[in-house]
Amino acid sequence: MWKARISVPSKVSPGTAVTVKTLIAHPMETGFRRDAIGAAIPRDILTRFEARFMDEFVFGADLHPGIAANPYLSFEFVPPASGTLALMWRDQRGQEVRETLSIEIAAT
Amino acid sequence: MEVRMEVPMEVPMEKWMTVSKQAGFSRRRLLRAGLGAGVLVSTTSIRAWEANQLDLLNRFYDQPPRLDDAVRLKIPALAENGNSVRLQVEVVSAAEQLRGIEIYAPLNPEPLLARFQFSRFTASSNVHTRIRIAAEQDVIAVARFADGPSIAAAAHIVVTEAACLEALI
Amino acid sequence: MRCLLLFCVLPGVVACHMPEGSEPRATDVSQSPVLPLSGLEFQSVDVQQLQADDFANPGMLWVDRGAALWTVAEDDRSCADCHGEAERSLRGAAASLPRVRDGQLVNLEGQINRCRERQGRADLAYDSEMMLALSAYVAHQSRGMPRSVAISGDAQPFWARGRDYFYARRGQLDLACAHCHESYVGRQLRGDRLSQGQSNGYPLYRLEWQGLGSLHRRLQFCNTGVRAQPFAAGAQPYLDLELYLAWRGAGLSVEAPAVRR
Repeated sequence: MWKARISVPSKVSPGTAVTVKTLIAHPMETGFRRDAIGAAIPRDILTRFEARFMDEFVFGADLHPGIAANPYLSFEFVPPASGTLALMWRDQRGQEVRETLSIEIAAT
Repeated sequence: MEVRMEVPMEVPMEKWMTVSKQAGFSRRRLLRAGLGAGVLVSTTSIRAWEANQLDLLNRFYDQPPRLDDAVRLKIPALAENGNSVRLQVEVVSAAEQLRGIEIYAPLNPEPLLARFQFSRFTASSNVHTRIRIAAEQDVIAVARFADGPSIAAAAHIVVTEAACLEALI
Repeated sequence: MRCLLLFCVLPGVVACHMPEGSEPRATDVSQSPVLPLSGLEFQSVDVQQLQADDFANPGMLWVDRGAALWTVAEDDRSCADCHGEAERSLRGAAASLPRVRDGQLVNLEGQINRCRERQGRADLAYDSEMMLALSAYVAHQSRGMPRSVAISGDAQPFWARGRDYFYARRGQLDLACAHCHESYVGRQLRGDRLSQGQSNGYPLYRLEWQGLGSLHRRLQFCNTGVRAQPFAAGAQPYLDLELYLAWRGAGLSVEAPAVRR
């Protein structure tokens, strides 16, 4: 559905912070704009972003129309072990896009 | 209207040079003028809440948060286009007790821009995103804690308007 | 309200500050009348950094989409079936467009549609999602390469019409492209610093559009900016102008997908 770009190092040293950068294609139509004949363009936005690591909540964001189109979000976390990072974006209708990727803790 | 600001460059301009040195007009003058626009500024640009900001904060919180330098809010002082403005926020103390950060633009049609929630895994509360700014205003970041009162920071941003507006509305 | 303000402000500015005898004129054909400067140099630091960030540059979302479409077969044939890996086969292609093919001036969107017609498929509209994705992907393969177009021989009449368009006054504001993009480069027009109007970044992500758009979309915007009737995307005057702009910016690196305010 909506295309997402995710930047995460696949291998990290134990105990180091991992920066997760995300960019997703979405117009984030505010609902405040009007078209050429004055009719309101309906709101169509992503409302929720969540990151979970091995099913545990890591970071979340409630998004409102004031977030720019094609939302960019980055956060930092320390993975406790090697595992799967699951990212989820949800829009106002409840439709979701999910992406998963593996993070490996390099043996010291 | 030139904006001059004494702030360090984050990326050397030389990286962007695509032409020879024989510029017909003063490229340096151009670069200096552009220097101020878009560089992130970290300030608490206000010392006390203004009345309209208090109105907004009272709607969302039991009592208005205290301004505190522990909340680092970085946005450009001047944005060329209000559709996409870079924002970085971080709370530098008591990270374990931090429950969330909220970002507001009081003069936007919908002032609450985003709420961020953290966990025991989040290394720091450093969050980067891009926001929309409708008009010149103070953007406010409020940090909520499990224990203790909320604290906040505000940073001023000016948005310029394009010369020729594509939409006539 | 805003368009009235522009109507009032702009002619006053031009009338007061236009020196005697400095009406922009077409110049010698052998070299570009300006030392080319990319539009990137007229953007804020934030926009420049966003363009440089290959991850966060929103235009890359369309490049990704184009890369995905490259291998999707329509009627058993995908772009990759003929062209193979675009990184190899189409490197440099966008840097030499537009060019004359079979007597017609063809730009990147035109070439993509020519390929589609050969496969018996319908043309894509210039700013349709599919055309933006494919043109961003193909143009991106030439990123960093200097633009170089031919303007002699078959191309000369197209170039000449493009040059005439650039210097002709038009619209209610009675301005030519050259007024802003040659005579007043570097000056402030309300919140904008006027650039040379170079086209080396297209298709590009415009913060104003909150999306990726083609050069022709920008030219339509330029026309409405001086209150002139815009042409349809792909119209001959825009193609001719595109050739002239490419020649005028010869040597500038392709920046697709660029980011502009």
